[in-house]
This record gives sequence, structure tokens and C-alpha cells, in this order.
Amino acid sequence: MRADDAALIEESWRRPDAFAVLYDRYFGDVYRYVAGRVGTQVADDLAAETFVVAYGKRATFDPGRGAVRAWLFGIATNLVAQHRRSETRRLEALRRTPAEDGTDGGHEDRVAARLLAAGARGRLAAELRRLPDHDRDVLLLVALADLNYEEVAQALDIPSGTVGSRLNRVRRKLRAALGGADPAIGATDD
Amino acid sequence: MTDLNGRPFPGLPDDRTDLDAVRALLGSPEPSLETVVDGRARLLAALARDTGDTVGDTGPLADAGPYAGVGAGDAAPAEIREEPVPLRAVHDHAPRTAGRMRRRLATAGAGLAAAATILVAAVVAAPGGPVTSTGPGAPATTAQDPPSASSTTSAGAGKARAVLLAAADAVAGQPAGQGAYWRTTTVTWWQTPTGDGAYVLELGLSEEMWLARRPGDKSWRIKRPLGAKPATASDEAAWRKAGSPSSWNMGPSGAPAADVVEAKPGEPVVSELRGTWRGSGGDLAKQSLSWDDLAAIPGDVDGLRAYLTRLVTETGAKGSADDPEKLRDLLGEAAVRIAADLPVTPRVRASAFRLLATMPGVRAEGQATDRLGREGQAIVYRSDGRVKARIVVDPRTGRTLARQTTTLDTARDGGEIPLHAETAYERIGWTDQRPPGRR
Repeated sequence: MRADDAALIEESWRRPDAFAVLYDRYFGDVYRYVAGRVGTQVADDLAAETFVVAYGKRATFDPGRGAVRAWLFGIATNLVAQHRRSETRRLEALRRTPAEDGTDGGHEDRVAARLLAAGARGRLAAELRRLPDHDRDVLLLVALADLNYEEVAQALDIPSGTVGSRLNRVRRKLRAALGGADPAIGATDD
Repeated sequence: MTDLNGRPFPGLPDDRTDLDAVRALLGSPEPSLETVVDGRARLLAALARDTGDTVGDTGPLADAGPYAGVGAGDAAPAEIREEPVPLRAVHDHAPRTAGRMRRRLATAGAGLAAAATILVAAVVAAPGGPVTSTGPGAPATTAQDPPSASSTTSAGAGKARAVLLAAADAVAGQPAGQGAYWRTTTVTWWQTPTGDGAYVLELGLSEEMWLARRPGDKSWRIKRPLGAKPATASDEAAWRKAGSPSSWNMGPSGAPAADVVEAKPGEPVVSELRGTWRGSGGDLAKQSLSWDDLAAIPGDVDGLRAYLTRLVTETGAKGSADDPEKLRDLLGEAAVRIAADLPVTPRVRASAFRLLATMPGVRAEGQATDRLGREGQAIVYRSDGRVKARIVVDPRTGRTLARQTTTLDTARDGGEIPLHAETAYERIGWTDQRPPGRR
């Protein structure tokens, strides 16, 4: 988060092109999140649309409630909700296909995907698909977009206590799907 | 481990293995450079709608292009929003940052966007100049395009797309225009062997079309031969050896002199357009299009591709439906015609540029000058061994300045000679003027 993000929105009322600075700052973040959910093909459109929509409703941005970045992720999440079927189809494909095919993000993603045993992949994808939409939103804002509780709460316009309880519930399900205390996950490079 | 707020996740082991597994499963791919450029242009178009003014260095420019302001009463605002361009083919060249398993720095995306901004800005402001990127995480491989860039590099392809998308954005911001006639003034030069094949001539022709928009008004063509001369120095030597003739029989040797070319320029010849030209606003893929046909051309990229594919397979050369290369060539030629000189809306014209940007094999050849001395960016859109075709486009105005082709011809001695041709689109647009000497 940057301190002058909100100032840029304010500035955009006088000088609309100030808003383009926010695009340059956050397009990559928004794109990776959206592409992780609906795939790159739909993401090409949705990520760009996020900023057009955000510009159109920048009057609704309240600097007292949080950061521009989280607000943008909220808008992106709303657009993803209009493309549930893309997300569902993608999860279904990930559930069925071997590690090579599910991701479309290039070499690093394929390497990453191989760190998951094939069986764990399938179970994880199936579990993600089964999740209620609002639980999946919370989970993926944390897992893909790196938002914290307060930011997720702001993005989805829900209390942060709700974020915590939803996330705990979801993570328990995921860990069960991954094999409890001994998930079939390889080492990450953290 | 704790959550991002420093609190432990209650009741769960202190690690992110499950979250990392989710990220590993779903991936979070980087946008391609074209996606970044395209999305930014879309936002700038939205910003420009708000101000009706010039926005940013990559936005639609204030100086209107060739299709603006020609006719009276440009009431209809241009439709700016475009469909997203699928650019799957270039995804493999998309820049990527290293260490993708780790959480990324937010600045990586910003650097990428900055690189894209700089790329488009450089294409527009300093055609052919070297492009450098400065942002953290910005790729070193895609942003370099020296003036003499090899035409086969992926940088050449990336730059071609950046030029075409910039042209599309410039066109999309222009008013539709209207008028009594769609007028196209073109000058064409082409090389052709003399009838006996002794050497090659270059011929010139100026052509003006006045296509009447109102039913009942007549359409006209004004042609003026610009003369002929030997194409190159060696052709000139052969011409002298042949006695420096001032006219040539272009028919096969010994044939009656039915097709004679004069060295001197001729007088303009005005003729009324009849037959299929009546009530037509132009031709595409060897078919004349009515004004209704033209108005029905889809304005989104996918729709346009489907329409043109159907058109060229219906009317194009036989077998084009079964030959992907042939189909691609015909599709490219049709898209170039729409981009260059057909009376379509700015939205359709912009989509033609975007369609070209999606075609495999497009590449930039840097700054080029057309035969009328106008500067633009050369984009090769067809290169199939025998024929190479490119357009010279001005990305600031979206104006197609010229179409240039080189065709390999077989000489008398069995060798191959390249024959060059160029059509310069001198003036294209709506007008309320009347054809010279007509009412």
C-alpha cells in the first residue's frame, strides 16, 4: 500500500489521467489474482475491466475505510463473481487433468504445480470447487492476493471477525483434503 | 507462523502450506505485455471519455486523423470500448519474473506496466528508437528493439503489435464522420516486365474514387496515368540498349499492340461507375459491398474475424478454406483494406488493426517513408515466400499511409526478380465536395 494512492484518486477528479498511475501500480497484482481464479483468457478482459469499473465508481472509495489496493481487489472479486462458470470450469479441469495441463501460467507455474502430488491436486481442486462462493473469495484473496484480514474485510465489505472465522473453516477443509497433518506437498522455496 | 496481521491462525498449525498449495495449484501468471498495453489503453479511453481531452502520452491524440472532420456534422461520437484482443500466440514471449513461488513484490507488476507504457510511448514518440525499461522486475528481453531490429525477432513481433494497438486506439477515438461521398485518393506504383521480358518498367497511376452515399447520386472514378520508366539502373541500361523507346507494348512478344504504356504521364480520365459499383461503398475480397453491407460489418475483433473468414472463403481463391496459409493471407489483406480505405466506423477500423495484431507472423520493420515522403512504421503482415506485404502506418493517427509489396517473379532466364509495388493512401475520408466538373 502506498500513502499517495488515495491522493491519486482525489487528483483524478481534476485530472483523470492521474488514475492511470494506479493502473501502472496494481495491474500486475490484480491480473495475477484474477488469472489464478478464472484463467488467463478471461483475465485479460477482467483485469482491464477492473480498472475501468474502479474509475467509474471512484466516488465510492472511502479513504477512511482502507487502502486503494484492497478496494481494487474487491472490485475484481465482484467481476469474478460474474464469471463463476469460468472459475468452476477451471477448477473442474484442474481436478481432472494431470499436473502438466491445469495451469497456463508458464514454466514456473508448472514447476510449482508439480510440487503437489497429483492426487493432492485433484482433492484440492475438488475442495475449492465445493466451497461456498463467499468462502472461496476470502481464501483466494489471502492465498493469491496476499491481503490480510482487514484488507479482505474491506474488499468484501464484511466484518473482519467474519473473515477470520471463514478463513479458519476453509483452511481446516483444505488441510483435510491435503491429508491432514501430513499433506502431500513438496517443499516450497520459502 | 502468524497471519499477515501478526496473529496466529487459531487452531491451525503455524504455517502456510495449505495456502501455498492453493497458489501452486491455481498459479498466478503474469500478464503478457500486450495485455498490459491493451488494458491501459482501455482505461485511457475511459478517462478520455470523461474529459473529451487528450489524456496521457499514450491516449488518443488531439490532432484528429484522416477520418475526422472531413464531412459536415460529425454528430455521432465514436464508440471507444473495444473487445479484448486474444493474443495467445504472444503469451509465450510474455515477460516473467523469477522466484514465482515466493510472494511477489508489488513493484514487479508496476515495473512491467511501466515497461509497456514506455514501449508504446517510444513507438509513438520516437519511432525506431531503442526502447529501455527501468522498473524493478522489468524484463530485459522484450523491451529492446534497436532501430535495425531483425525482422524475425520476437521483439519485432511485440513492437508490431504495440504499433497496431496504438493505431487502433488512435482510430477508436475519432469521430465517425459523414458526407455525400466517400472519397479515396491513392497513388500506385508498380514494377512489371516489358512484354518481351527484356527489362522491368515502373508504372504509376493516380486514382480517385468518389462513392456516392445517397441512392441516386452517381459514383465516379478519376484515373490518371503517371507514366513509366525503367525500374532500376540495370533496367535503364537494358532500355538504352533497346533504343530508349518512349512507349512499350506490354502484351506478349509479337502480339498486336493492344496494351501500350507511354513514358509520358497521361490526362485524367473521368468515368462513371456502373454495374456492381452502383450503390456500392467499396470492394472487399473481390466483392463489391453495398452501404448496408458495410454498415453490417461487425465491430468487435472476434466478430470481424469470423465475418472476414466467411467472406474470403466464399469469394476468395479456390481451396482457401482448406489451406490455412492462404486463408491467413486473404484475411490479412482484407483486414488491411478495412484499416486503410473502406468507409467503416472508427470502431470497425480499430478492430481491423487489432485483428492484424492477433495474426501470427506480423512483425515491425521500423521507421519507413512512403513514396509521398510521409513517415510511419512498417508492419509486415504477410510473408509467404513469393509475396511479402507490409503497411506503413502512423500509430499516432491510426492512418494507413501505404501498402507495399514485393513479389518474386520468374525472369526469362529462369532467375527470380523481385517486383516492388506500392499504393499510397494520399487522402481518405468523407466529403461534401462534388467530383471535379460534376454536379
